[in-house]
Amino acid sequence: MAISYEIVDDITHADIAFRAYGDTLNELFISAALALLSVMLENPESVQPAVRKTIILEHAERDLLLYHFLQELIFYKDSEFLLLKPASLIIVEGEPCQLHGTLAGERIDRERHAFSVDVKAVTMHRLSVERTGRKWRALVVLDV
Amino acid sequence: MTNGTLLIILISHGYLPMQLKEVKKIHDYLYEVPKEYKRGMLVPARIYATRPLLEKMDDAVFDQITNVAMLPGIQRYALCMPDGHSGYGFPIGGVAAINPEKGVISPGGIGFDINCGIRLVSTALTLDEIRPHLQELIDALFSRVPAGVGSGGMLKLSRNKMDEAMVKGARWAVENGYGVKEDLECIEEFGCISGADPRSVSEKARERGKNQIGTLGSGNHFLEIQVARRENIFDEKRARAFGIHLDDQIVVMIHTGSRGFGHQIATDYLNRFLSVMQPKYGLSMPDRELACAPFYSDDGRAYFEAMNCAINIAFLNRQLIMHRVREVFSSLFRRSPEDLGIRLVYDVCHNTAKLERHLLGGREQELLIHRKGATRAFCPGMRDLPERYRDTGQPVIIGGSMESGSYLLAGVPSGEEAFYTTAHGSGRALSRKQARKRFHGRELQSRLAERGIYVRTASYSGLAEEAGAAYKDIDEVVHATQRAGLSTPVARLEPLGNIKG
Repeated sequence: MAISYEIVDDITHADIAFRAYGDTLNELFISAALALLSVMLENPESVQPAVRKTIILEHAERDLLLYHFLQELIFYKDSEFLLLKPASLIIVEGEPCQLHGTLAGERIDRERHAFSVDVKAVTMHRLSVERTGRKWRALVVLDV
Repeated sequence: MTNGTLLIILISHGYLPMQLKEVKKIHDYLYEVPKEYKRGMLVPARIYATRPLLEKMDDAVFDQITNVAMLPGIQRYALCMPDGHSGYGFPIGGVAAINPEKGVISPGGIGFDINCGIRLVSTALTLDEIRPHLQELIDALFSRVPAGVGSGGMLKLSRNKMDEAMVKGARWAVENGYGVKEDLECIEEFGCISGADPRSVSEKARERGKNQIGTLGSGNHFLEIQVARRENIFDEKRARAFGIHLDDQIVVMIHTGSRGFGHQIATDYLNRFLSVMQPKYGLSMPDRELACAPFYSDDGRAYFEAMNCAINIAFLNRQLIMHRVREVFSSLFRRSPEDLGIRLVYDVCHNTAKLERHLLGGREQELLIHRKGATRAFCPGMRDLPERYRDTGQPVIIGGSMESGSYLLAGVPSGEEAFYTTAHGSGRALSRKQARKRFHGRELQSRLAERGIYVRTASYSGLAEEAGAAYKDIDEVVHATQRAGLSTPVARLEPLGNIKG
């Protein structure tokens, strides 16, 4: 699987932007979710899969589907103190695009989870999900 | 050397930012982009800044402020304050006055952190009295004021009580024993903005907000103990009126907002406006973050009602944190908060849209003033000021970094041209990633301690991102606001101790 992401520096000073990549749309969304976690945590690998949540979303546009997907992760962080990563994800393209999956993670433990910054929201600033050749890539700016 | 080479050198040295050739100088502290610059602009865009500050603004500021000038119902100018930098939809430091009858409300003109703001609290303590206890005080505040991700809130409110708090704001806190009646006088909107309706708030916003009541948050939020040194008082009369009358007087500054509650409301309505603005109202804007709806539509009113709930929750948060500060000081010094002279100077908002009456074309009119990363600065005589500040003008707080310190200022009559608005901070000079490469949290903490500034933080990498050098020069920003006639400096406040999330 080609899960990867990088923080990008040339877009915003006050907040944090990342590019995520994947061979498939599924991989892209997983990369983006892991990027979000790595923005918040210095040690994202410390998050254990103790709790599971089902996620079902749909949207006419791929970039807004990603937007809503990442927003759900932020919502769980604040409402239930949960740090979640995708355990399984299926995205079916169509009118609308549909996302089904399972998120796995655990409750925030400030002894083990080293936080860098809190993410307030996903923004639509320069938000994009696009295919370049046979790869997918996304650009996301987070309000921190 | 060719012209092309010269241009590249000039641009790389910051002498000619990409769009500066479009900008016309009105005076040394005010620049204008004419409305002919971009199709769709209804008014010119004006930027208050010194030339160096203007040159350091990134291209996105110019793009965004000229987009703001396209908002239906915008009056006079789209404005940007001297600390302007790139935001979402609006630049941070962006201001737009909209005719509410004909125009729109735009969540991008308020921001995700609705009513992020700053509160300044004075004490009757001096530097000599606090020095021996500074570390202990900061440690106690760090332990007693919830900060950082996952901290949990100060209070757990039932659904009904949360609804009450959304409507009453800081007034709810005082009615429930978290403060005194006099506190409310010294808060914008007297701590409780009208027009809040909890029915316009989503379940998701309630869920995100319920665990964060009375929390500091993280990022650039802080609680700071500061000193107003004698030599940093610029306006003695106003300083006294604001409660700063002792040499080396100790004050406390609290910077936080509506937390996840406000962030979710902003997100909810941005999404809602995006889905209705074209099909229902025939509106379109060049940037999705400038999604808007007519102010007097169902959608516009619903957002305004929910936004007002978030404004009130932010007032509540700052009131609760101030109450905790009173408790901690009282416990450490074994004296009552009254005896310690712990009094609220003022509480200002940075991210709001408010209905205010302003003079336009010789006639007083009600306008919807969007201020995003900008501070209201009412002048002497204005009716919404508490009695004690009618002669001085409204206290304004411009927050700086934990190394540079902050400023206390006052509103002035010439601020009328900017709808009585001034800057809110200094704006970032380095990205968070750049700051983390250059500075290390623990090292920074030690260096600050050597300088006598004691810092506690929930995140060392977060601390590195907040290093002083990551921010622009606050003195220059304040100087620009003064020379532009937006506000007048009263005192510079130096940091002594700081807690961060």
